[in-house]
Amino acid sequence: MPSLTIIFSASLALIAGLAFYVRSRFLLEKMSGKEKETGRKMYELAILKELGDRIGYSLDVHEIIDIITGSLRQFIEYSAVSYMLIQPEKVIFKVQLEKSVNRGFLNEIRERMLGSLSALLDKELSKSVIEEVLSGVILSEDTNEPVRSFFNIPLVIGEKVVGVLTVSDTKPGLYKEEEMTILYKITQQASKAVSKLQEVVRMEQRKLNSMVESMADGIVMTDNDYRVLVANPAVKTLLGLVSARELSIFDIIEHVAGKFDIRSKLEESIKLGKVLEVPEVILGERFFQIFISPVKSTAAMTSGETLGGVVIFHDITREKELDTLREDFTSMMVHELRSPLDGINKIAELIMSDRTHKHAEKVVHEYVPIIHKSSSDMLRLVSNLLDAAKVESGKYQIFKEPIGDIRKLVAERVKFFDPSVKAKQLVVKIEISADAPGSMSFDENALVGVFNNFIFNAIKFTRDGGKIAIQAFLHQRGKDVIDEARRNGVSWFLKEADQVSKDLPSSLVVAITDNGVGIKRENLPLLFNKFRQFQSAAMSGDKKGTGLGLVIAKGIIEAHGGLVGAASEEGKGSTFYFTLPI
Amino acid sequence: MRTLKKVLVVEDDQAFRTVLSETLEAEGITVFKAADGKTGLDLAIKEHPDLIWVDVVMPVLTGLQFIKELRKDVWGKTACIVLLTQLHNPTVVADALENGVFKYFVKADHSVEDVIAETKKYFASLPY
Repeated sequence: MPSLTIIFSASLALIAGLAFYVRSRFLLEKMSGKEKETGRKMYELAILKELGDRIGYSLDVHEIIDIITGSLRQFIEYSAVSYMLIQPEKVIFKVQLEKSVNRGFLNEIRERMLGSLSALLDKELSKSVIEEVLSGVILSEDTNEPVRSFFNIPLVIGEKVVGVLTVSDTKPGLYKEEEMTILYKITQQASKAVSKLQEVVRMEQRKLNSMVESMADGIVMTDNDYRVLVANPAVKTLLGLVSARELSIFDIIEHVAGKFDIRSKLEESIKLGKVLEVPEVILGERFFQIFISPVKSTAAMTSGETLGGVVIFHDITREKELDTLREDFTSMMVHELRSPLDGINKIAELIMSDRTHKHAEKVVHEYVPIIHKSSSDMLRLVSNLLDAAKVESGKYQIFKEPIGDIRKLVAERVKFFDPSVKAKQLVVKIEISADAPGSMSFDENALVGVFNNFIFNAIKFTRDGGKIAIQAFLHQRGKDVIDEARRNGVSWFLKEADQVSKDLPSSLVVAITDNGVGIKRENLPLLFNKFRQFQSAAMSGDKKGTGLGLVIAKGIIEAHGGLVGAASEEGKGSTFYFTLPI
Repeated sequence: MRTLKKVLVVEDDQAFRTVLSETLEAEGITVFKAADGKTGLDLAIKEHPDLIWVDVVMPVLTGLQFIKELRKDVWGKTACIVLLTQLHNPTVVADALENGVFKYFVKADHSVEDVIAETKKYFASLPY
């Protein structure tokens, strides 16, 4: 049966053909699927690259979404691509139309987007102000096509929903999983990039904020309309506005009124684009140097634009005090030098006026001793001043001898002061621990000066019948001095809180302790200050000392590589100690 | 005309105190001497001198403290005071003038004779 054969073969052919068709169709589909996918990948890469480039300069979410929506049509078919962004006081609704749709279409996507945004934020948005921006093809009431395909993607930045991105069409069933996935991926990438960038900016801002917050100088920054943008805690403290959470320019104007015209200085500085300086303003009881500077943008896009002004309050009270101290020191020095010199001069005048020499007796026994005393006072003062100056400039020279005997030195010093000790009926105790080296290297003459000073002071500030102890023990590197002292039976006024240097090398520790009047806590740090000591000695009329002895002693010990210190309890006594590295 | 019969010198500097007192005594004036402000104050209140020379920088009570304390006394309120200083410190001088000191000398700038002669001249011009 030829026909059958034909039919058969035809059928076969048909089947084969069909099979071929199906297969090639399948292949074709597969091929175009691959191409399509490559295309998508390429698009994805391109858009991601563009996003990367643009985001590099922008943190503006609008701009980034505009980039996405602007290039989306190469890849997805839609009548409209739109986004909604939450702003502090409104919601932005921006639509790019590709095909003409009517108002109803637009209203529908608007409602749907608002609905999903409300759901995402769990917040009622239907009453929000919505700013609508349309672009692309114009609306047409000729068409009456409803929304048949619709697809929403939340826009998330830094784990916060900031809006939604939507594609919609009048045709049904357009958006499959594939399209959704890719669009989702792109927005996710963009959001990741922005989140990361925002985090970087936030980090920088935090750093900058903590820097400004922790600065000792008071800082106020205002915008061009003098609204306070930044006011650090220091400025609140110095203005006495600590409790104020937000500072306004009026608060500041009010608090510096009559002393500093902040408003006009800012205006001047911004106008001239110049840093201004007010050298000295008294606020409360402190002195401030104030700088006013314009703040200019350094960002690439807006470089040079004035953003406002900054006012910096720099506290110069301490410097002022030091200046006063220095001036006082100089005038006291003049006083202390001029007095004996003037005395000598006046006595000489007196002697010369006695032309008949009838008072020769008086001259020898009364006037000459005054001249001698005045000149001695002056000599001592001049050498002390010179020594103190050397100490201060670090040029105090010591001449160490290799075999110094501390026991002998202490014994000699105590003997030297014996008359004063007896006169005040003091008890002097010498305690040198057995481990103190018998031979050390030090400048004996210089150390004599140090002992003289410490012992003299101990005698002077101890009441009649009081006690003085001269103690010495060996300190081993790394051990606790206070603990070592306790173990050596040393009783002194030093406590753990006094913190003798932690990394003290192995040394001989020498302490001179008395049970005298003691020193006020606040005066302890001033003991070794040249200016203070000299001044208080002069004011107390203490003709036996210039007050510079402690300053010089400190210089001598430091030249030996040791350290000097004092501890005291007011009314109970004081300890002056020094260390000599062995 | 007022003349000086007895005076008080409150001065911690031995040389100046000695020279001033000796010179005054040579003129037949009675001189009370004090080396610090406290002793000076006690002497002033006890002896009521015609005039007091007082130094600024002194132990126990400074010259200014001396003056302020003296002004609290009924007699001391109107006592004649001359300030002796070694430093020309404008604030100290201003403070002293406010407390009724009628003249001051920077010691090194004047001889003792000058100081005495000038003081006498001023003292003489004062109304009773």
